Amino acid sequence: MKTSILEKINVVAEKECIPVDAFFELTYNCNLSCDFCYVVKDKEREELSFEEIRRALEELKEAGALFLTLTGGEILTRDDFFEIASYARRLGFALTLFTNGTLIDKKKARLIKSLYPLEVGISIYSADSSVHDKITEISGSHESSISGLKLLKEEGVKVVLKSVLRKENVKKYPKLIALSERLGVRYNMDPIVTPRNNGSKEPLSYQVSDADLKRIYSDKRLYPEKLRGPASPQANPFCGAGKTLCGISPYGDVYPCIQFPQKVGNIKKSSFKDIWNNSKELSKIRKMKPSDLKECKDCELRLWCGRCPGIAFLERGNIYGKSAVICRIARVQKEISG
Amino acid sequence: MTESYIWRDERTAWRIIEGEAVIVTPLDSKVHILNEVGTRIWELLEGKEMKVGQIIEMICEEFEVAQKKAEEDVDKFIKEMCEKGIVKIRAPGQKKSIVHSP
Repeated sequence: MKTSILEKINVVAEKECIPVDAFFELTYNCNLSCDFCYVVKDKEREELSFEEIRRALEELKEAGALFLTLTGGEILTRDDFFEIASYARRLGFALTLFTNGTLIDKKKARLIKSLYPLEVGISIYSADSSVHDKITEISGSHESSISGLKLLKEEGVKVVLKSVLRKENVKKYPKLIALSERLGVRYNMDPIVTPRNNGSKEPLSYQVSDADLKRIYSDKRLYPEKLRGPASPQANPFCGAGKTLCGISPYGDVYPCIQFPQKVGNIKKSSFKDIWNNSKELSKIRKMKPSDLKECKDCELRLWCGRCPGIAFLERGNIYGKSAVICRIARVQKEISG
Repeated sequence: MTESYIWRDERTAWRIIEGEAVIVTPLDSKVHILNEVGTRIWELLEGKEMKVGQIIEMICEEFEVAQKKAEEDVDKFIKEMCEKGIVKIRAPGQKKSIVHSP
């Protein structure tokens, strides 16, 4: 029932370009220093003030956004985080929070509970604290994240253990699954490492091997549903970026999706409505046709491909082009499907 | 029932999308879409509680339905919405229970 209603909403939202799913990066400040993080801080630019965020939330509501993910950086490094999140709840948003969990104490866990989030995603990269702490570059961060997760669980908050699988943790991901099960939380593990939001490909050096990728995508515990493809040749190769999805950075830049950091406007200079309705870049994205994808339209992998214009943009600055990261995943999925 | 008061469950998230109220109940992560009359009742409850009788009166007037039919429909709607955690109800004189106001 849930899926069909959501599908119905998505069909309407896509047709009318209603950004039902908004991702708001509240800050790029973070108390951890994960080596593969896609965030690149711009020291010259000021992050949004509470007032600017308040106005943006009102404009997002006006535009029809219902699901709001608050993410960072680390959201709890903002002193006004609970003011922001409470205001978002008063505006009727369904909240999801992404955090590393390290700053959650009993009081904050209670405050988070009072926001009735759909889910709180906590990033934990390994069941082994030394592996996790090496990735975050902060000693003791694993213990703090697990403690934050447990406090949320005690309050009855729905938590998902999120993990990016990479060279250093991929071999032992079954232990991370076991940890999630012991903690009684859902898990979500993803082997996709993306370039940084300034296009730097440095994080790609942490990508798992093809053999590990195959193992991950063949594991029914991680992917209980059938994998992508082969899709129908008529299947829509486009996602909801710039139509049902939008992203806002801590500097006020508006993106078609949080994983698609092409600046289409800035809420410090224009209203969200003005950007959403009049951006030339968004108009281009919304008008994309399969025939525009010259590099992809005859590709033998296209029926297995979960094309991402955002990653293509980050890799090569070309939203119509191929992406090495996505092509590789499509190739592995084709091999698995035989 | 007509003397009882109803109000939106403060835990819900919602938006009016293309004229229909889309409501998310976070405890079960379910999404609900209300019909035209349900959407109107949801809108009437914006920021306040209302007497069920008042709602029936407004439904009769705005949708041109007979009193008995409106009473039956509203009664059914409220029961269903209470079960789903979308609205709450209290008898007159009973204290309003707020789970938490963000």
